[in-house]
Amino acid sequence: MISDANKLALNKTLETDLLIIGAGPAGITIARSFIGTTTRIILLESGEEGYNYDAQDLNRGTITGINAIPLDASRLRLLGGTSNHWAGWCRPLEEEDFKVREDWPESGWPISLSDLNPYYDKATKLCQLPRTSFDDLEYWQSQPGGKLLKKLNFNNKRLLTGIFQISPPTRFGEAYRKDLELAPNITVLLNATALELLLSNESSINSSVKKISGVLASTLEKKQFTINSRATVTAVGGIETSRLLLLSDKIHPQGAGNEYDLVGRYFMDHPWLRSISYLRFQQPGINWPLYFNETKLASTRIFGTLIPAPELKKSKKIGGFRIWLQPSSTSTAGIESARTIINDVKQGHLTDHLGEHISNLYADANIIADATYKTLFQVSKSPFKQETNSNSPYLGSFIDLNIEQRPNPNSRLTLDTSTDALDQRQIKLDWQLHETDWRTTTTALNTVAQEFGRINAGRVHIPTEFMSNEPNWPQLITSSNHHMGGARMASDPKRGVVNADCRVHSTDNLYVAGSAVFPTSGYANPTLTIVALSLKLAAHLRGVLS
Amino acid sequence: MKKLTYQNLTHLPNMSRRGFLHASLGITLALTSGNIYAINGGLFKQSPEDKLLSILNNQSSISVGQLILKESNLDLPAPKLLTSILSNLNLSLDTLTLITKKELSTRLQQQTTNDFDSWHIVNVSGWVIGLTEAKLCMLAANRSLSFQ
Repeated sequence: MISDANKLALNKTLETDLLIIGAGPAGITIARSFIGTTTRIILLESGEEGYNYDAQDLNRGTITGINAIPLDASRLRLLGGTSNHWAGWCRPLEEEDFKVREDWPESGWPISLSDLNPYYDKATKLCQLPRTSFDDLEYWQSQPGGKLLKKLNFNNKRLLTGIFQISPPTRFGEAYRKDLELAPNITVLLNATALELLLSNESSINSSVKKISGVLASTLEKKQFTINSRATVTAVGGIETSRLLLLSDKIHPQGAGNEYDLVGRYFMDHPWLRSISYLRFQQPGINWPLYFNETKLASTRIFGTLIPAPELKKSKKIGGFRIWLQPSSTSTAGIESARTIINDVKQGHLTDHLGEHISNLYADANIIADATYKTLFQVSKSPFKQETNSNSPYLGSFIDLNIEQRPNPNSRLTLDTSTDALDQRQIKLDWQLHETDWRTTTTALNTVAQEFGRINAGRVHIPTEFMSNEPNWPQLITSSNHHMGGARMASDPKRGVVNADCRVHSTDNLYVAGSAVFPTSGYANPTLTIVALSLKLAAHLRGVLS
Repeated sequence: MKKLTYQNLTHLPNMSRRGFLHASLGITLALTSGNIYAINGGLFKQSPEDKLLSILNNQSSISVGQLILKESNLDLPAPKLLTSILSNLNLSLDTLTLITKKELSTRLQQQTTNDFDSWHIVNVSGWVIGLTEAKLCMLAANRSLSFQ
């Protein structure tokens, strides 16, 4: 059933078995998992079925530190949540993303990839992807439209090809609305904003393990009501989770689950450096379909990216990264590279058309590159001659970089003094990066320059600011709307807000779903992992509530 | 090795009889020694530098080389440059004369691959290029200066 909280009587108290706050991918996934059971579910959604400006306005907040996309633009309050502007990129985390890393004491999940794998398989279906094995190139090649897909022969101790599947993208609200509407045990309550979590009468604020009775919620017209539940899941995203926990100061003076001052800390995103670098081909007309576009196959779209080999991460003590190419028919370096070049020219450092000269260095570049490639890799065909297409106008490619941010306790969400339309304190994000993140960035750029040079594909331009070992983040850096952390998962309550089952350590029946629990972020977009983790949590809750 | 024919020579402008004789002698000597070399700075020389630079685009290598000379802290005085390049390419002056342009190109590309693999690179205004190709560009720039 789908209903509107505006139609509830004032001060109404609702009873349910499981309360899920937030009807985005995580909340909807958990709710759907209870279809066919007798467990009563209430799924709260702050917005409506369509976009509501007043509801969206509740997302406003302040950002300091590294430049990020405004908080009221980077997430959505409506049925389906932020999946309504999701681009659809999917890939699971890597096995080593779950492990403790030697130089990152903050790293390590209390679960492993194998714990999550069965749920990843189900999550791919929910995200409307045809294949659970992402890097199976032979399979993709066998699909109509996939014949030309080839991997570049990078040194596999440095760079690997990581294939993303692109979801249609799944708008969870639209795709699963009917399931929710028809399920007799599920009530979706629209226009219902959670104000704070409530402490059960069975617990006191001093109890070491507390019980949550439910939530105090409100409509935009400030009509308040209460929902009592046996278990509560907050599924409100990587920003709002911290906000709701911090606002719930009747559970603990510093906020629910905040006994060790961890709520809101270790906020992460995937820092995005757009067109940060430029690959100038040794010859025009190169075409690498796997890497250049979202390749449309019969059943899906895929996109090849460049990711670090585990050996590179370990030897350079860096995080993960993801590089993707955006081919260009312009003859100058990318936007930012061009800016750097212009600055250099003004300072008298550079002759015009240097990129052209770099690419024109060799008199017979195509023949040489073709021959060298064949010699180097002992193959009969090379990508240079074989795939050169006189119709392909590409002279080079912009290089986009997403990095894995090292967990940083000073990268933090706190409550601001300003309030929203429901008199709730707004959120303040102080997004901070670690010096490791700079090393990850410069290593990524150097490695891509090294590998494209090594296989004679071309030469790479790296803006001068990235030559320094000292962090000097350019203004163009931005977030990827991948809000993670703030309620990190750890076995030890002193190191994390939730345990391996996503239950808030200091409570008996409060759970967090979504990317807020990620202890580390990997390089992959988080939605697929959010859905997989939600399925795992749902399985746990079915056991608890049965 | 570039082949010079009589027809080539007669088409050269303002060829004097003396010049023609010098050129003929040069070709004879070159063929005898397996090289095509200069005779008193005559018209048809192909010095080791010329042979090395023949595999690069002239204007581009000069432009890049000029920048490297200006920007880079590569401590390679001009006289040592040729020796250093030959060493990188595992060539001697004698072997340089014996290999074809195509073989030289392949050798340079292989060495460039090795340079990138071992991160022996030069950064010129943000562009990352291999050390050996950078040295060749410097050689081209030096040569262009010497002709001015």
